[in-house]
Amino acid sequence: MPQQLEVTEYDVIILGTGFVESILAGALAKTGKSVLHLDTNEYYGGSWTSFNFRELLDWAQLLQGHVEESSGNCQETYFEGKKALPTNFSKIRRQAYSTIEYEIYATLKQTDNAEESEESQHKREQNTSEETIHHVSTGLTNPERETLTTLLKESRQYNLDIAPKIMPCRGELIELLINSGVGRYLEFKALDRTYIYSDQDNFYKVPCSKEDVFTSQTVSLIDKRKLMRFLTFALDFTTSPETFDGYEEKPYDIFLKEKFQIDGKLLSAVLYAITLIRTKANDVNTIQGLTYTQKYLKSLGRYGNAAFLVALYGAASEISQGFCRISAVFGGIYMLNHSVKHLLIDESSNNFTGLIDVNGQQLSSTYLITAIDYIPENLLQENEECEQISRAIVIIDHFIHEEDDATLTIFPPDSVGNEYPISVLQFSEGTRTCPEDKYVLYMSTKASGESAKEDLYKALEKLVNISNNDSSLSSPLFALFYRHKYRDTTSLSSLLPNNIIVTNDPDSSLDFEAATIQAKQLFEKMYPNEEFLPVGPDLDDDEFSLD
Amino acid sequence: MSSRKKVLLKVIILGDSGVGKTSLMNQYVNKKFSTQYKATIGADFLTKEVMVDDRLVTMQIWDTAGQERFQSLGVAFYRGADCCVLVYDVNNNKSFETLDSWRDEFLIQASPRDPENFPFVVLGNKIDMEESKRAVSQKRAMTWCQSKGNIPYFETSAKEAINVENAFQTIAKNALQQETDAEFYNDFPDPIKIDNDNSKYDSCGC
Repeated sequence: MPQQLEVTEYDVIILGTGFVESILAGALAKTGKSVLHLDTNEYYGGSWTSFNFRELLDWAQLLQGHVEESSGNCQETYFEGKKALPTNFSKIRRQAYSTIEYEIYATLKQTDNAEESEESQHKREQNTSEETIHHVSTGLTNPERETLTTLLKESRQYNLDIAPKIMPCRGELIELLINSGVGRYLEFKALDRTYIYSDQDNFYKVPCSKEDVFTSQTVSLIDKRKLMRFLTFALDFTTSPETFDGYEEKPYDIFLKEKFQIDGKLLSAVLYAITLIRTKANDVNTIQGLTYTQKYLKSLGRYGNAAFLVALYGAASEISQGFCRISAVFGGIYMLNHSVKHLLIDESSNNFTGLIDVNGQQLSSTYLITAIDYIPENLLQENEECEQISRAIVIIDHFIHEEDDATLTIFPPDSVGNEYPISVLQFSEGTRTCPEDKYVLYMSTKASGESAKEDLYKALEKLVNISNNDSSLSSPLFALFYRHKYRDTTSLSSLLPNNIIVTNDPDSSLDFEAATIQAKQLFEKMYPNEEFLPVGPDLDDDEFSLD
Repeated sequence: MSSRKKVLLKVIILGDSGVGKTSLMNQYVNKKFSTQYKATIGADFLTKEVMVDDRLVTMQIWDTAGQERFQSLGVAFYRGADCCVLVYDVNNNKSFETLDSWRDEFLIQASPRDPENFPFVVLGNKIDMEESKRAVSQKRAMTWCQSKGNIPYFETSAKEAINVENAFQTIAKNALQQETDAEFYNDFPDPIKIDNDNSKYDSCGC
């Protein structure tokens, strides 16, 4: 029986349960707006979600086009005098991803049989299409098939982020989580260490705090002094503007070289591992650079000696679900696995008036907030210029560097033939990303070459024994490479009806800060007189009431 | 048990819309009942301190927040549950028949380490209604509970506060047992929780 909604008019309908849409859902419901939140997928998180291993394979197959998807009907029609524009979610989503390749590697070590006893648990999960498994295992050698079997057995112990991000210990998101109460739903681990690769095939632990600098064995005494002086200045840079006078618009690296004599390896570390620049050094001016460096330094010390926290079980998807829960607690209505057929536009006012859902029910609202994938094709302009991000998810059998819950490794530009810095997050079982004795590497960089694999492979070779290059390195079990677009919503918004609000794709940054700021800005644009996720009321005990 | 670490038990309540999940929680924790039915709004989780075998534990009871109405409870809701309470309405046959799916859904989403022994408790609610409306007999419910590995069964009325205290005492007890077992496997340091206590902008660590 199709699920009909009794209420068909809302203040806001939201399409997609990605990070930005979910924050908005929570914020809007909390200010008393009626919210209907739909997602075509049967899971939360949209293009920010996390998957178990089976789901990840399914997803990769879907994006490669190996699985048939029902394509929407593409007829533009009229419905009660309104123009009805068809949506085509799967097609538009697929277009955002490219150069998807995965590899399954022969198991080198014999895995123990402890998993066998969990057989009963695995019997329950036959929802993955056997078609996928069949397709994946075709052409594999026996040892490779063995790896696949192990991965599938432990499938549910993986929570693999398709857009992995970490959270600074001070910043927009963490304050929002604390104030909104969503933080109560979540658990975190500290990002223990940052490493940087230098072209002599060495990885150096990056000293971040003054304490680190003091105890560091890898930094020379003279560099220690330079770094100390710089960190002291950067933490409070606005109070000594004379230091950067005349450098404001100049590249950050020039400033660091000329004013602090920071050069070579030390310069790389400051730019790419402390300031976490995701582009080339000369694309960042001194003011921007100092702002990022300061943000990093201010994040230290709140939760031990870590600047970042890692959310357990996959970050963005858990955080999104937390905000959706807040929205539901305040009356937001949730329907996953619920697609949209048409958006209705009033031609005389060029306003969005409502939509027709999968059951043919007409639902209307004052505003529509949507991820790009739900926008009708003829409203999207083909934009080839947009930024793309190359990513890889790699499962390995042994940690790189040291055994930590979470580490970050940076390859500066040109260190392995790469145009842009490459970041590699390593998560262990402690972050609930993977089973015991396995580790997950999340690699990412701005796209530059022909494919995600090309952009990341050389860095991967330095970390794992991926092409029998170095048997002392950890062995890979699985690698998925993919590229996705960061579609520009600013120019898109000007073409759309005013009351359609579009949210951004996950960006190339390592954190959630820009996405959190977008959610806040969109909220303020829609309801300038309302407060964005104000503190309280605390829903515990006393506030709890049925009437 | 020697460890006197503060124990927090996460209990989640599942079942069809309208069976009285929120009312049961509210009766147990706040001793309140409202006859006016509204699909759940404003219910997040309730906490209550309980004594279990001379041990003071904090029970955190999580409501579905209405997200079960269109089968849209996300996996995050299920994480780390120590006990799952399945509720049906004794006057509504369908709400009893869906218990199977709710149980399966829990086992898939929460994927507990030892699914065979994970503690469930079943509550047949609304026994205050007149006998002629009753659609599921006690015997039938108990047979189902037995077939699923002897799940404890209680017939309750959130309205008349019948058996609610009793049921939750069993829930707390079984949740504590589960938590203690889970702790045995867990050799990780505790994860970081963020809350207001840490949010003061005090000195910076560098």
